[in-house]
Amino acid sequence: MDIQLKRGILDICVLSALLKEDSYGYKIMKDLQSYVEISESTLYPILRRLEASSALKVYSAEHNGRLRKYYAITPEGRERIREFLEEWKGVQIMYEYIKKEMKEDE
Amino acid sequence: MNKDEFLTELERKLADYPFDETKASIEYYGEMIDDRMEDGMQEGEAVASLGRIDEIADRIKVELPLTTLVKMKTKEKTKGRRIPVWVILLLVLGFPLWGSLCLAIIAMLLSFYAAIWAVDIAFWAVCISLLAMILPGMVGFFACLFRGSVGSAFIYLGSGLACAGLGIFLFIGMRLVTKGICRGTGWCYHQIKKSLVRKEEQ
Repeated sequence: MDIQLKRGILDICVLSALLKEDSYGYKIMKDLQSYVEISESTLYPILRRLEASSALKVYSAEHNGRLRKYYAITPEGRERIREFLEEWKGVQIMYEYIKKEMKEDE
Repeated sequence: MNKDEFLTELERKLADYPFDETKASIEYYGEMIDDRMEDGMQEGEAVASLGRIDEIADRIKVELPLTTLVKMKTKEKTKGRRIPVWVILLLVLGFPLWGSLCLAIIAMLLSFYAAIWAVDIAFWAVCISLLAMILPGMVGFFACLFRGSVGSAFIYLGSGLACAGLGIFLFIGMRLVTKGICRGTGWCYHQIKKSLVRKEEQ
């Protein structure tokens, strides 16, 4: 898949993983693993980028005697997911068209 | 390799980069190892599953702003080395030559980029004028109808509608093209940063 495209979608995947509850790095990765291949080193820059664009907030909380960073989605982050879904309606239509034409061709 | 060794090594690789960035990365990867161990992995196993340190460091660097990358790169290159006087002298004396050459190349690249946008804008102008054709079409239609020449009236209406239709198609296409150019710009920017990071590793 086109790298630039995948980058954008991964951002939204990470934001979506925070919709239900605040989460931490390892859990986000595990939650996403059944849908998309993502490693720590991929996730890290995404989290930094999302934080920089204030799509999520970071706070530390104690866990088992150590500090763990938790990530929480912001209203801006939710807006980004909404925009993504809106934008991809068009892509979905094109996808259906391509699939249909391909089926007829086979 | 255990957790401390891993984190020290990563810190060393990022030593020249902004302190905040380095600190945040170390914290993140330390936490990842802790969480994996809590999940039942052995320390060595947890560290190994993170992948190669070089790759991890590269990923972090690519995300830094371009200006930081360039600054760090020049710092790395001149680290521990003093530039000889004759090199500085040559650089200063040669400036009229290499300076203008560099400027010319940059100007050329920029004008190429501007030209792409110019074509894009030109097509948008065509698109808007096609859409606007519906107005004279309607005016002509009613004017001719009023004067009783039904044939001319429909020619006006037809051409107005046809132009507007073409305009709508062009609008859809141009939206995609313009978006594509924006994406392409982002891609180029990312590639430039990537090439800077790669060169550093060599």
